[in-house]
Amino acid sequence: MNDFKKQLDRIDIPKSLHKRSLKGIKRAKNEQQKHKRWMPKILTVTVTIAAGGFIALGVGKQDTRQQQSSSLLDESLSSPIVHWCIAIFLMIMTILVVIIAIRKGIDKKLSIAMGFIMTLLLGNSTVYLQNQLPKPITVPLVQDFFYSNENFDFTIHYITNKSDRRFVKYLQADNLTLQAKYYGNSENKGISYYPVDVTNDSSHQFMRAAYFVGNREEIQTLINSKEVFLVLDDGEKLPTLLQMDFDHPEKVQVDFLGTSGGNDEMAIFVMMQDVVLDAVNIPEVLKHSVSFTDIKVNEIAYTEKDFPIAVKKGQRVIITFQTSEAGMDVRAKVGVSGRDGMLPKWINREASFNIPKIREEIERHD
Amino acid sequence: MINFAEKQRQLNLLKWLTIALSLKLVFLNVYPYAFYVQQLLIYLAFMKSLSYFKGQSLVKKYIFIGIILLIANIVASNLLSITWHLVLTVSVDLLIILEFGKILVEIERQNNLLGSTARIMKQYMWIVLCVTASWTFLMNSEYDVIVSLLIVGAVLIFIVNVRLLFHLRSLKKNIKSKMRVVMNS
Repeated sequence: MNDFKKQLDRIDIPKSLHKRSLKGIKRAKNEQQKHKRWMPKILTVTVTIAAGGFIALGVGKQDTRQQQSSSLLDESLSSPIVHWCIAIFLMIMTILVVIIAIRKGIDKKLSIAMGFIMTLLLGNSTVYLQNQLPKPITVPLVQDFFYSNENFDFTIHYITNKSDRRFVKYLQADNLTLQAKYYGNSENKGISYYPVDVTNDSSHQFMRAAYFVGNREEIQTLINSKEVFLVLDDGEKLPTLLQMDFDHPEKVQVDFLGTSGGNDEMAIFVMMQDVVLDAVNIPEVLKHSVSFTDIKVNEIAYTEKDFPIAVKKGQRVIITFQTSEAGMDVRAKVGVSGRDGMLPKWINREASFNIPKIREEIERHD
Repeated sequence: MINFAEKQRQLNLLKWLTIALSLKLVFLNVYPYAFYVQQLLIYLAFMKSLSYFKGQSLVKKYIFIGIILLIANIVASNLLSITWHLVLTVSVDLLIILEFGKILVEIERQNNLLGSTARIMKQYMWIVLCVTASWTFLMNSEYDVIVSLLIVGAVLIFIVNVRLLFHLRSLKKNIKSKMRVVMNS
């Protein structure tokens, strides 16, 4: 074996022959490159198309989220355009790196696939960055409390980015501090972080719940205070819109029997006294999302135009309200009233997880 | 014809590569610190395996990048950085294994074995690349999708790794049987 190697080494190649073979190799390489130049071209086109798609996506999202800035909403400092410019620059760099890698002899398919993955990573990162909230937002809450209770509890929802590990510690209004009920913290730091107080999740944000309990004085302070904040564990204050009130019993005193049999939007009463009804009571904050449909007395429907209407003892009355999707939590009472009192309908509705809607709601009351 | 010492070296290379791949089968990502230890052990096993190879290879460079990524993971805190880290780590690990694939092809050639390594490595590459590409979407997905993508990806990577391990085992057996023939003759 070794002898054979030695003999091979001993063979002299004439210099002219050596040069000629080198030339041949060079020419062959050039021809090979000419054949395969389409690969980087395809890659360039693919990445450009992907980048174009991402831009369209970004611009579209920007349009839907364009809102006037307000004191309750901080707009992101860096615009989506800047994100996309950086992303496209990096994508072009990726293409260059892939081309260099191919020229250096790294497997062509592997290089292109890696370039593709890098482009996906950049595009996804840009979409991710665009969908981040600059700061958590709280969901407006409209709540009426039963006056007869001793303790009053309520839940304020707030929306944080998925990577935000902070949580609401307490509520602050004037000189009142209400501690949030602690849910315990899940310590999983990995990719599947999911806090225990999450009530809903989207691709980029969690909707979480802060639960409070207060006595009558505390709730009265809350009702009277103009500025209410949810305070996070790191001290950041989130402005909160609260519309609270007590459901004073003297307001309700129309004698009726049971409200069973109703659904989300209607309530059924059997009257125990004669009543004249002349007004629809919907709190101001709910007027754009809750509307009165009709009142049925012995299966005959009346609308608001027919007011005032007289209802007699023993008649069966159905009142119907229509609720539309709005960016706020509602646990409040609406109703139809007259001089003698009110036929109430409790609206219990949670805000849908729709950030533009919630922003719209905040701006409306700001 | 290659000599006995060379074959012994190849067997050691395969042994340590098997250890590295076996370590990859355990998913310790749930426990952050265990993951660091696991990844370090895998890289050490790769280095040990590589020490039995005499030729030129890019493995060392990739391992170096992998270790830098591992250190960078300490500052990864949000979904964005965690996804970047995951995708880059899987890609670097793939590059390392593909480099070892080239070494395996070389070993097969030296032992005049009927080579299926090239084919297996190709499939390995495409499956891991698909998983990696799907994992780039983790940062923009809802919780259920994240969990499903992670589980499906992890299962696929597990399967291809097991397949590669079986292939390494058969390769080792073949080399050993050839050694026995040499020794007997």
